[in-house]
Amino acid sequence: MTDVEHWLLLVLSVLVARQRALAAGEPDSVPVAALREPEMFPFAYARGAHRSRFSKDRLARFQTSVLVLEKQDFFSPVSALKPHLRLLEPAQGAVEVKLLPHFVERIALANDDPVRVYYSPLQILFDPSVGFFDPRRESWHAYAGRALAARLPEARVACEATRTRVTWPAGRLELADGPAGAAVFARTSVVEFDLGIEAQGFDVQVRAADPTRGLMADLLRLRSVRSLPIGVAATGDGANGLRLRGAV
Amino acid sequence: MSPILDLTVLRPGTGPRARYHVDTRIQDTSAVADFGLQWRTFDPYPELAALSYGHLYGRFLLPRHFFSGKTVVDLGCGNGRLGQFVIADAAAYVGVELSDAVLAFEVPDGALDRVDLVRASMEQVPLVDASADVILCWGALHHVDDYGAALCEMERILKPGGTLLVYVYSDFYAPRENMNRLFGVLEPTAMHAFCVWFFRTIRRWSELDPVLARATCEALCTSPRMHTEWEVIQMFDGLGPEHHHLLERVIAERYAARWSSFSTQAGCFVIRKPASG
Repeated sequence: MTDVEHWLLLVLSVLVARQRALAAGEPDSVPVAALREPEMFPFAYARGAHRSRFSKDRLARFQTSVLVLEKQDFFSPVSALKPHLRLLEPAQGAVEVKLLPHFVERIALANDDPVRVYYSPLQILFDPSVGFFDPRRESWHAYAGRALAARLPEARVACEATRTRVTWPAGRLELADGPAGAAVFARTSVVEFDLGIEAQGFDVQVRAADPTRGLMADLLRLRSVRSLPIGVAATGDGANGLRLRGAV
Repeated sequence: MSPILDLTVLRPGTGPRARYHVDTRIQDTSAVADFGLQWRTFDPYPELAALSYGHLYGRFLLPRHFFSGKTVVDLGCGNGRLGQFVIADAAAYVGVELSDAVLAFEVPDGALDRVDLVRASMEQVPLVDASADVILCWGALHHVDDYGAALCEMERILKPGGTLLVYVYSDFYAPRENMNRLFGVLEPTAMHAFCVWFFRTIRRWSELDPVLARATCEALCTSPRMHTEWEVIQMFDGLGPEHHHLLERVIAERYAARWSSFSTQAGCFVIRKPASG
């Protein structure tokens, strides 16, 4: 399998696993909303320091967040700022974080300067040439498109309000907002897929030029297996294609 | 040759040093071939004998000489991971395995006259009625196409008063069901390549975003820690078989009223057939 096929299989496996959980009434394991709307940790100046208070169960996300100081043009993963932060556990499952004075002084942060801290799963696409994702500067699909293009030779990026297209000599990729989720279309020399992710399900059409090789050869067997994943339907889409739909 | 073998359906086979027979009725399917590949290529248990010993004696809570002097049938014996401990004590041992993993079963010289290896299906066991003192079936029943038929076969060949030792995947594995159904369509080599790629990717994510790495792994019922080659290939026990039943409740309910049975831990059952009636 090629790298693109591995990615497709990973996405499919997560979505298929999610479908069973949704069918069983369990919590949604795929934070589709977090893709589009990063989780924010609001900071405010109080009692002589910039502080944020949030429930303890969000601590892991906070520690994986990015801190942005607009006026100072300063971006950094929170994980790199541990010596400059103090964590307090006030009570009742809450955590309070404050910026320490030596950091505030060094970076020349005024009391009324905004401090933004947010978590986004898109940060795994970080590349030195594109930096961190900042939802105030661009959409999720524009950032993802730029980050992916940085790894593809001769890639070109075209951003619009609701979609971003990446093209390179061997293929193209399109990332877009969906009605309640996201849509991804990709075409390479090996495989083509059109994926829509919604709040309660997904719909993907996969085609391959040669359905006897690679991932497609395996996936086509889904049309005939006796036990399909729960909440998932598989239908043929011509001789070379397959459509998988997940719905509660 | 053990007198409990049904010679009308068996032919002599070649390969292992021990006596080896092949059921003329078996059919090789891709699932059977996949399990054979798994046992022969990726299984590391020969280096983990203490773990295997714990699986047999610890999980079933068996006294050290439980098998001593008994005729033991090991259904789904694989390459003899657990059978090696039974052979040391049993009066007679018949290892039944549908895949060619049985060819890798190494029987010690001193036990060659007490051991028979048989390639056969659990749904149609080529052994005579009421012939086994103990039937061991570890981690195999949940992969059998018609597990009801396999249970009927166990009941048929077990002697009155005999003991059935069964381990099946517990309900703990229920969340894996959908991935097993998806990954069941993959060829073993494709599954292996994906697993290697997946864990490499997850390790990279763990540095950048441990929350996402952990959430992805939780969604797929695995963990982001380093995995051995064996664990990689067993990530979802998804080497091709589309059969992956969850039988913990089935077993408990089937024997609750009829036979004496108790569960030593999740998925592990010690079941005694009534001595009469």
